[in-house]
Amino acid sequence: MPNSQPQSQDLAFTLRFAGTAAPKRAGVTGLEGVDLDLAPGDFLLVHGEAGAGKSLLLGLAGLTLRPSAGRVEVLGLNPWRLSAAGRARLRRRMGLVFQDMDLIGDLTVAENAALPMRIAGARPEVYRRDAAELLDWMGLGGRAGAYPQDLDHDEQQRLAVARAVAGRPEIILADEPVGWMGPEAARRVLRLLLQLNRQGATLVMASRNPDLVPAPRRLELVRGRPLPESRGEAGA
Amino acid sequence: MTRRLAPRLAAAVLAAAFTALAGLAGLAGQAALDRTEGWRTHLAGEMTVALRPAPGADAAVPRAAEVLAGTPGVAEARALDRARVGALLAPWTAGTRGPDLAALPRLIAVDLDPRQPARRQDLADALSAAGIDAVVDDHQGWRRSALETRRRLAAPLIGALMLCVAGLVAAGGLAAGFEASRREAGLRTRLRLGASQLSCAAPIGGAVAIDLSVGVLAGGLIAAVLTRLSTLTDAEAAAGALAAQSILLAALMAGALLVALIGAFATAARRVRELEP
Repeated sequence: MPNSQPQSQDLAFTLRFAGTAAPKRAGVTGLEGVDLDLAPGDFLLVHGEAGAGKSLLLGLAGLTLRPSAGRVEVLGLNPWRLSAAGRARLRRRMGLVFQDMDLIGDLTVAENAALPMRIAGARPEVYRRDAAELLDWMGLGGRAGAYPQDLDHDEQQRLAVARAVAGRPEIILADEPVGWMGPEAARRVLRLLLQLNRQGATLVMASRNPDLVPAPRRLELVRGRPLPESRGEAGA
Repeated sequence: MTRRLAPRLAAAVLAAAFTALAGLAGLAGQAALDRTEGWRTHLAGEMTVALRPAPGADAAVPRAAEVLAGTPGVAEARALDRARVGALLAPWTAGTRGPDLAALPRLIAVDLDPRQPARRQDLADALSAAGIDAVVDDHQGWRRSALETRRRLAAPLIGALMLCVAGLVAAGGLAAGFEASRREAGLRTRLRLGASQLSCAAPIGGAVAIDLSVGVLAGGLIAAVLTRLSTLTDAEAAAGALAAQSILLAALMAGALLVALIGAFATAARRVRELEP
């Protein structure tokens, strides 16, 4: 696993929600009244039933969704007051695992894994080496030349996690990151995410399973509303 | 596969059609403008002196030609015979039986010295001093007519070229629109991962540039072949004119490609901007 050294240590908060709401969509409850402060190295597990608003919360944090009310701050900046280029720069400092994985079908596994590093402007020899190392760690070293559609769901999800952490992100947002994985792969992936978190990355993980992983901070969502946050349990 | 090729083919055909139209309009316009300019220049280099039909006019003709030839700024003065004058004036004077040659004026064609041409008044003064009653025509009316023809040609020519610009922008936009739709999922993911809009739009423009280039090249060739076929019958078509036509066609093709690419990049940028969350 390539070394990840987040650069947000001088910030008090990497992610802030203040009275944040997300709009309702067809058949999906919106999200409202979210107040949240996350510092570098924090780990928050967001859990709740399907449709509770977990993906909306991660979408707001990952700048794939614009808040309908309230404010979101990412790495000390209000992203929706920035230009598109400014928001793109912020996105490069985050790693996202989407529930639908969003792998690019006409790129190989290695190219998908290296994409955030390419976007960030890394040199080809660097991103190729780091991607190969990551894929090996994820047990996908032998599939580097394959295309995402040739992988099974478990492998696709491992590739999605590899891509999310490849950009050495300061914030990792993982939506059901191990939902399709077998127990051994899931343990391995969770260990990787927690290791990055211990190295200083802010980790927000969303899952329907409240016992997925011991988390120091937990937020339960019920029909788009957050219950009071519980704190204190040590990370794994 | 067909679904992917059809839009690319459509864009290339559209680019070819509008490039061919632009090429033909440009070449035809150039030829017409060259002709009118040649006509105007020729008219400016000569004058016509008319001796009114009157008793003794025939005898005055050689003397008038001699006086005119001796006037500074005149290269040559030639009296036109009656038959030639009849032929020249036939469109205005001829009825069903042909003109009455005896009633026609006698004409003298005067070629001016191109280095220091004589003015109309110089010729009129010289003839008057020699006691010859004549009218000097410096072809002002014909030259105005040539200029008017040029002006009238310019409007439809500019209109045709503007139509081609719109068509080429549409061809570029069509190609880029289809390419952006094909890549939409990948573009959305790239934007979510922090790719800049420019870095997403540029490959779309690059991908359609090949199709548009092929279309523009084909359109240019069509225009060249059609123009060549139409000038094969013209025995006076010279090598110089062919070179000028080739340069104009190449410039029109480069312009057509540029316009189509601007259309493509503008569409790609707009589509990418719409995909940004």
